[in-house]
Amino acid sequence: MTRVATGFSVALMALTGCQDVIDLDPLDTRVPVEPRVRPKPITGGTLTVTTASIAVAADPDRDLVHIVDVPARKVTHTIALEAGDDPGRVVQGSDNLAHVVLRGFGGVATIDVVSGEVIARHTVCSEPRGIAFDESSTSLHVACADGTLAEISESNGEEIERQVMEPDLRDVVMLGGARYLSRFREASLLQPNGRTQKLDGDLRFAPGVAWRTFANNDRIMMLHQMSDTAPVPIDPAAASEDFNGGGGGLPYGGGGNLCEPGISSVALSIIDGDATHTVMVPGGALTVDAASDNEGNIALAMPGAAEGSATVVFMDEHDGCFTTEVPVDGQVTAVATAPDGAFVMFSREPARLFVQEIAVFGDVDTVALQGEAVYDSGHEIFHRATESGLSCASCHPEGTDDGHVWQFLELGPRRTQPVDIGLEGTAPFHWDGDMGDMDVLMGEVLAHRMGGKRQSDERADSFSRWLFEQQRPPARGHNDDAALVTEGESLFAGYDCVSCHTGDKLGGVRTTPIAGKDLQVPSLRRVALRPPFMHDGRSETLDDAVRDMIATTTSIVAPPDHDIDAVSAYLRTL
Amino acid sequence: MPGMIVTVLWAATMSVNAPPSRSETPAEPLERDTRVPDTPGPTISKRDQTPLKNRLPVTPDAAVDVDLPFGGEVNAREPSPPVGNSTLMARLDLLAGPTWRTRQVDAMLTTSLEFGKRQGFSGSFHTSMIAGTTPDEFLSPLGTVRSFDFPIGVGAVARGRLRKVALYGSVGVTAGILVHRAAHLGQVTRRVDPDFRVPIRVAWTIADVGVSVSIIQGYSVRNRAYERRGAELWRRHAYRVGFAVGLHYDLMVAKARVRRSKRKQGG
Repeated sequence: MTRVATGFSVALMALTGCQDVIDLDPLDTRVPVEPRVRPKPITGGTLTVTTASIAVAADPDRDLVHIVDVPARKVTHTIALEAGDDPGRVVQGSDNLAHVVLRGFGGVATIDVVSGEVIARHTVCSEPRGIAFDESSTSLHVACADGTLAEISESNGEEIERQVMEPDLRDVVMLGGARYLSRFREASLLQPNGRTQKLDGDLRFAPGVAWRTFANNDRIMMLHQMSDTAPVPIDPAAASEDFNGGGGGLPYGGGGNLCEPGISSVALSIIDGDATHTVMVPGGALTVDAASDNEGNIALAMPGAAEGSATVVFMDEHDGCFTTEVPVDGQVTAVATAPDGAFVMFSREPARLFVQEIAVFGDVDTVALQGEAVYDSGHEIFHRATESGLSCASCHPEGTDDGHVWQFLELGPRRTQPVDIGLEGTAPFHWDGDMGDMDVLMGEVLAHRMGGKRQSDERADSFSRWLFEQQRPPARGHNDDAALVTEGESLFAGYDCVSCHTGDKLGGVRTTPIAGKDLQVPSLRRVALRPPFMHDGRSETLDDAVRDMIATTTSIVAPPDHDIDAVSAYLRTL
Repeated sequence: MPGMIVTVLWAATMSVNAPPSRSETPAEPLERDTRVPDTPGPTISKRDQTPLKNRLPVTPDAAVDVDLPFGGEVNAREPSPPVGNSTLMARLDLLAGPTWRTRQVDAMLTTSLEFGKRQGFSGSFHTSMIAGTTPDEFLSPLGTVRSFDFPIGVGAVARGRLRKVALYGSVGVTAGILVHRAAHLGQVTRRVDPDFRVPIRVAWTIADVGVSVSIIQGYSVRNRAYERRGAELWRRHAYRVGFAVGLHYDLMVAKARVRRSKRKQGG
């Protein structure tokens, strides 16, 4: 009896003061799935339909190119590229040729769509993104992430012209014989006359992340994102209390409320000469590609839609309202229009091609494509929409960053950080180092702020492994003088930059007080591609950033311009 | 929780000060000097002492016609309450009221069954239902938590008469469990915790039915909170104080069997 009483008392004492906190966030306990080769982040827009109604679909997850006879609904060829080629944009060339950008290879593959053979591979730049065919000169214009714009001959791949422009080029569009270029993070359009045309924002949202730019009816259409410039709360309790003022109860907004978009949403801008018209797409999840017919119907590839939801929607170009969802079984990442007005859609997983003859309400035919399954739990967690409509890829498009400077209520301005620099071993995360590890980050950001599901330990581990694999090679497009680069490297050490930017990632492993704030030292890998710079985006150019850091961390208030040039040249090689 | 400790100490004091029942204090045998001590005699001489005669009978429930010096009437005497410490009873009650659970106020419905002495100690079994209030769904974008707590316990109650009328006060201590059930967006959560109660009650009985007013303190050991998206939706402290008003019904009232010591029974 005494033992029982003692045991009861001990148990009671142990329970006294206990907090029974029950987390009502849904928990995803499905068994994680990882394919043999884990897929890369979605880049989208890897499909074109030729004037002969031949669909050429590049499959970056499997390093394949599918050739499909659209009217016959028949796969004519499946072309295996080299492992790691990472095929992207496709453009029709002359005769029966199609040209595929190979991001991983750093060049272009020329394919005969009739024979199904790769007839040439040409190296262009370290990370080609956009491609256009110039009929007048039978040449290809290739835009690269590092700012390289190369014009090469279609027939032999010889370089006709090479320019180095501001980094982060995305698409090349030929319209009326003139060449237009889009920049990815800034969502601006470089006009043929050299002028940079920026899109219209509104009082609250600023344009960014130009996923796809294409020509339509003598106009240019740009599918892009709109990012919030208003203060963003990070405290879930405060956001919940602020529900009456909007926000859906989630710090990052959204929540399925059409009147209250998340902090990042989809928009379509129509650029006609100097005039631009932007329509927001309410309720849109991560959208990576668009195609339009001549009647104002626009198909959107929305692979970020929540699992089980349609990943293709039609909208009206005038008001941005969805007219219908296309109930296809697949994660569509690319859409295109055929000469007869039919919409063709490419699904990455399962690998399929869908054809819808009549826009909006037409029947959908399915063409199965070859290739092993690439369903990946980590990839899904990264791309699929949460309750807010946002996904990780909304702010980290293509597995990198959107370049936006957020105004966080409790922190101040913070620029989105990239995730393609190899995050393993760089904890704590975020500028303030307030995310001790990936578990904390997933709970705090994915679940609490974005409204995503909590993940089981196994799924969280799978996600971390997938994310840590994301690491792009250096983008060295500027071809700076080797001596200047060497001098810059010496100066980098001389100014003691290496004391903080240390390790193989040149940063990311320590938190250091900078100008009175404890900030995580960022990695400098691919830093030149990521304007604006610094944690609050206060430096527009790399030179400004170098000057700022030297003045902040050393006693030298005004470093010589030559030193700035040298250090910048060195940083452009990382 | 400190309130509960004070209340328990008060209850212990109350039980110590209660008049001892006959069975609890058996007569001690006289020993040593058994002589009657000298006492002063009566102040009235035996000669003047006369037996009482012609005195009016006193009835408990009827006014008496009697000539009073200044007129008026003698009111009927109130019924004498049963002698508590020699009366057994079984009482069933049903009370309702709010309960304060640190910042939140919930609705409580409680019922108990007591069996024991009307004045003295009784055993008690109780069960309650506490419905957790939830915020307006339209103002709570993260959903609402609909909770029900069911404290169930047994214990003892010390009861004493407060006035000459049938007004009794009681203090009890019970121990048991608190069964917690909550639903949120179709997801149901259940918990069971130890639970302790200290009910303080004032009861006024007319015939077999009466009115009870009670302050019920409870402690269920674990503080509980529900969170959604990092925001707190529902929180209740383990300590609670309720105020309840209701009716009771005495299922049975009977004369307690007087237990005598063997010495007295054997003569």
